Amino acid sequence: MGAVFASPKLKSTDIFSKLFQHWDGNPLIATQDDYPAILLQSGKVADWWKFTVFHQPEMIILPLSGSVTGPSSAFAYITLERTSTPLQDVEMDKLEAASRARDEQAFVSVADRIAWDKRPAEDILNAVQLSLFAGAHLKARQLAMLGADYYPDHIELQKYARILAPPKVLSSSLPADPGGGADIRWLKTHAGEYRGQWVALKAGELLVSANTMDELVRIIGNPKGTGILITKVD
Amino acid sequence: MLFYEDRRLFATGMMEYEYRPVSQQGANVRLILRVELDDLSFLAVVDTGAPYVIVAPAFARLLQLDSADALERTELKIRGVNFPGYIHRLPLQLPASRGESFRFEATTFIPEVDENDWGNLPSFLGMFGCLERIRFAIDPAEDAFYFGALP
Repeated sequence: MGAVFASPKLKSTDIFSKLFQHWDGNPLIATQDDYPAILLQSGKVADWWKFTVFHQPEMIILPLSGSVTGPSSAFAYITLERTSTPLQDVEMDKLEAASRARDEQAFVSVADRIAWDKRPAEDILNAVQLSLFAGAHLKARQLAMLGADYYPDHIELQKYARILAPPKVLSSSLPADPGGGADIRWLKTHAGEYRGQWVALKAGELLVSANTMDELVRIIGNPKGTGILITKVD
Repeated sequence: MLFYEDRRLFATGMMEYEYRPVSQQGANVRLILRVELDDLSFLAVVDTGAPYVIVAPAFARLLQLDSADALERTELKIRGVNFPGYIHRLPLQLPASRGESFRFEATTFIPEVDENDWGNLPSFLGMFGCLERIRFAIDPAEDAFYFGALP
């Protein structure tokens, strides 16, 4: 049921009117597009007004002129209370929505408008995770590296930056391994004879074939670190 | 191996590849390399449209990785399907038939799905997080994949 309303001052009357229309039925849900730009930029609005609505859990935030507090003269069921506390984090909400929708373009567009240097480490980490879910992989890397830069002692951000960093050369002068090419040539030559089978090859020699990989691994053991290529012949 | 006009090296190693559909039902031919990821040898399709190294579940199982070393569980869209899994950083070696083999750290997606749900999908070598820092060229006449590190 939670709903937050925000509106430019001139629209306040409209909002109240809609509120009345919907009060007995479904609550009015404001879309994020209804938020004014100031919310998108800062996520906070000072000197707006928080409305506590009796009997309903919704919090309604509307800008009003004057300094009235206490029961609303216009709407008896509303109490006015001045507030400058942060609203919900609209920027992160928008990021989350774009991520959930897997809308990579919208995600990047929202992320690019956020001042990450003013954000806590947890927000940046959350944004990296949302980026990955959205399929915005480059943005995930950029945010992770930015976060690692801003928070050098934050272990998780450092981990994200390390794992998402551009590939790093470990060695470019290792000896050749002609056996790998021999395995490829074996497959080109003999694939037709082993269709549907799993095969284990080493240096162009067939070690064993089996119907399943599990069967193959039972015979040769885990091939990790042995130079043995295992593959299904399709 | 391969040189620029001014004799600077372009590629330091060459490996042979297969050029075929990944399965008998496959309509499109793929460039398939034999690679070694964390010392496990398997075949992977070069896919410059994909991110990361993506390891088919059957081989992921053999890698015996600990998800504690990975990033938080996420999802990756592969051929239109979202697969859950973990992102690791692993050493990947391109073993040269001629020249010098090349070892580098690549970002790697390890799907956490049943092998049946994976279907006939192969493993992939994607551009982002994997091939993006490698010079490469192919010679279709020889089925040769040339590679070299960026300086």
